[in-house]
Amino acid sequence: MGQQNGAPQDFVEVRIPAEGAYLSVLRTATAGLAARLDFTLDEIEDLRIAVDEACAILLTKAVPGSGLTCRFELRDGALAVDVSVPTLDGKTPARDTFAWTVLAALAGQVDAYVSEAAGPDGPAGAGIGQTVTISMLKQRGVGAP
Amino acid sequence: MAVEGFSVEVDNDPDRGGAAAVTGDGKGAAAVTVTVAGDVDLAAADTLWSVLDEYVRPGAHVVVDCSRVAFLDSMGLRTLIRAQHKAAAADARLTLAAPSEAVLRVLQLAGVADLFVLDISGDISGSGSGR
Repeated sequence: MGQQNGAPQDFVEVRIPAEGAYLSVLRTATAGLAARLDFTLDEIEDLRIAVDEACAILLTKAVPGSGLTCRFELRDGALAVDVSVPTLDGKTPARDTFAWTVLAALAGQVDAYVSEAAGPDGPAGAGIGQTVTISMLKQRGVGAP
Repeated sequence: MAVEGFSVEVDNDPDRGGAAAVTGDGKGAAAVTVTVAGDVDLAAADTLWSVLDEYVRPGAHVVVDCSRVAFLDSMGLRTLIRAQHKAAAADARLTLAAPSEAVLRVLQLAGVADLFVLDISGDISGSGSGR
């Protein structure tokens, strides 16, 4: 996948404790990676907010003591970000929140899904421990208003 | 736990000899200024709420100086909205003064700028010598 033009794709994965205190670390990592892809300053700021919102949404339902994984895929002219955490409810986040509104406005494409795989604390479909992921794709030069 | 990159300071505290003591009907009292600086995110929201909750009380005028907010997300915004709701219910006034770009952006994205009284004059009332 993604080898059509032969351009190398880099993956960067950052794992933090599922605690709000580490959000600033992820924002900094996001800005650094976006800068590598020559995003504009405004786009970098948008990405920082978007990743922060996705993480904050997931942290409110994260299993305490678990880890939040943020996986960045550096594509040609785009940055794809997947944020995942084992959750207490195994459900995708509500979309009628300020956080989702802001996230959707900032990232070009956003989606959320529940992992099919078994969580660390139970079998697939059990709810608790089930990993929920928010995926976003931000294209360079396709700014939010 | 200390929150890195975030601070909140209060000037004119009426309980500590400041000029913002509420007199009579509360009209004409000087404002309490709450200066928020740095990153206002999930990690900072509880601290910010504890301060705003303390000072937003009947008759009070609380000016939140937002000029040094470097980052605001919806979790920080929720705290400001909660304070605004409390102010409305308590017949208090809450003003967001000199909002930084980071603040204006998220207010706009979330579509809630109209909820707040914004003072973009750059003159933070209560922090200086008055008029």
